[in-house]
Amino acid sequence: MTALRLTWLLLKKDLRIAARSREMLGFTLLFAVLCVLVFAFGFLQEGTAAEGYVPGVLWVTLLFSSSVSLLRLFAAEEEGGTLELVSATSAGTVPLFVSKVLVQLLFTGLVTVVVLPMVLLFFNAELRGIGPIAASLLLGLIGQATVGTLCSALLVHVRLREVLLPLVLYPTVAPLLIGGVKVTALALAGAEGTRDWLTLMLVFDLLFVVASPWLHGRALAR
Amino acid sequence: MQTSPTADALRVPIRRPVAALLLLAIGLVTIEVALWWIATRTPSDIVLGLSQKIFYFHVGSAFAMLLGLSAASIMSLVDLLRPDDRADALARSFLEVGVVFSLCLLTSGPLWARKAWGMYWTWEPRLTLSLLVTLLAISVIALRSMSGDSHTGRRVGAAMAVMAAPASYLIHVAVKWWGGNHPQVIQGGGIQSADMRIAFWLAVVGLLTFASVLVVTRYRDIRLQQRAQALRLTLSAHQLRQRRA
Amino acid sequence: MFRTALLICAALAMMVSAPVFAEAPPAQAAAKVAAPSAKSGAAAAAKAAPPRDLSRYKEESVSGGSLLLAAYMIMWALVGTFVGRTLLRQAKVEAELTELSERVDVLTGGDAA
Repeated sequence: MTALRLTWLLLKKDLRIAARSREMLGFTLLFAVLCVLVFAFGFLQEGTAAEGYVPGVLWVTLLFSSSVSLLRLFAAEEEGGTLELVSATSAGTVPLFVSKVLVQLLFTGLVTVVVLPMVLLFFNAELRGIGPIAASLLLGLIGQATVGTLCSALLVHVRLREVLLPLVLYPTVAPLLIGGVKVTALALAGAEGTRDWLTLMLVFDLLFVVASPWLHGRALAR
Repeated sequence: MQTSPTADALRVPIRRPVAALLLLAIGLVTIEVALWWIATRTPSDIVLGLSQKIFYFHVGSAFAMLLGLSAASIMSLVDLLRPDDRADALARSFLEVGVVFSLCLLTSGPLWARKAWGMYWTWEPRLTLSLLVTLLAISVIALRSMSGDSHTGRRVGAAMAVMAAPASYLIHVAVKWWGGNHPQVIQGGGIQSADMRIAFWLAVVGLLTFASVLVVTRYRDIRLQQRAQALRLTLSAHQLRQRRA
Repeated sequence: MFRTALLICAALAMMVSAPVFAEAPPAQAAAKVAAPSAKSGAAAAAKAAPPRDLSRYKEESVSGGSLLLAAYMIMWALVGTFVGRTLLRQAKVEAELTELSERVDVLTGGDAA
């Protein structure tokens, strides 16, 4: 079986599970909405939205809700022993990893589509500079999904993984968070200078898109 | 008899580390000389007063942290590429000693900043970087202690430590662009008084020597633990065989 | 022997370093040697700092000496804790090793270790 076909099969399986039991997606979306609400309670003063909170609220909400879905990303694999089975194929563990990144990307993409308008609405901001913002969201989500999947996969058999996952994930994706917030803030203000930050995010993505499957295979293959 | 990894670990020697003792003596003497030099020979700063003297061991800890954590990542990579008990033990020792000195860095830094910048903490690049890197290193240590002696835990911890290296570099770039005002003492050729230079290098050399003694001590400790684990395995294998017989 | 030596040296280092700084004369020394240090590394730090209103901080009561003392005490305490923990662990694992090798010897007649 070729690696590509195996990836597609694994992805299809996950999508089918997600489509049949919509709880995971639903809960993640609900969590994201609640997250924005909590931020609104925290940052709204005397009923009016303070300026300048949109980028931070958007990116932190995305990071938090991505870690919620990451916690369950490998649950079915753990129970079914998929990792052992996939490792036995000639394609190795890469197809499993890639399919999980794609699933995570899909989840966080949907969350973004819901959260972005909500944040803009609640914090009275006008959407400007859609190009850089879209680019930063794309790069940020890819990076978060890749590193997040790696952390989630590595921690599958570790005790207290729910606590350890954010502990490892948040410092690692700090460049993406800083870059994303900067680009969003600059774009919303109509300012220049987003290119450098987008390049940084791109470098981060390229690095971890290459390194993560390798590390995953190295660490977990028998 | 047990086979390869266990048999290998069984041969872990219980030597008295004489070289480490010598290093310890050198390190401590250097540190004492540095302390004496700092106390008697170096000038106090016009603005910062005595608190400027935190600088010497502050930068020394920064060096120790940087070296320790980099070495931990490298040894983890070695262990990941070619599993070796010694590389694993070294990686863990370097990681722990690196964290000890990064905690020194993170406590002495704010105390200096209180006088220099008027506040304990600013979101300045190097502060942010050291905080994030320390958190990463601590979580790798936590991961190792959570997973006990298990093979998976060891591989996973090594992978995390390897991942932390490029991540730290990118964090470094990101927080630098974020803007800040850390003194560029080393790059800018800032130390102009000869006494301060001597004190600085004495402190750095002494601290690094002391840190390497800590690494060696911890390494020996972990190796002994590996040996105990190997003995335990041998023991249970024998018991199993006897029960079968 | 190694453990005791390490412990004694660490304790010594702590004891020596603390009084050295406690005895250092605080404010006058700072004023006296201010001139040669004008171009020192730390002054560069103050220069590099943003144009904050420094006068506000000059009058505050935090003494550089106490900050210095606190920094050194905390650093030695951290290192000391680590050393202590390592030594305790070593003592434990050595005791365990002795016990284990005895048990292995009994079981195998001495051919395992």
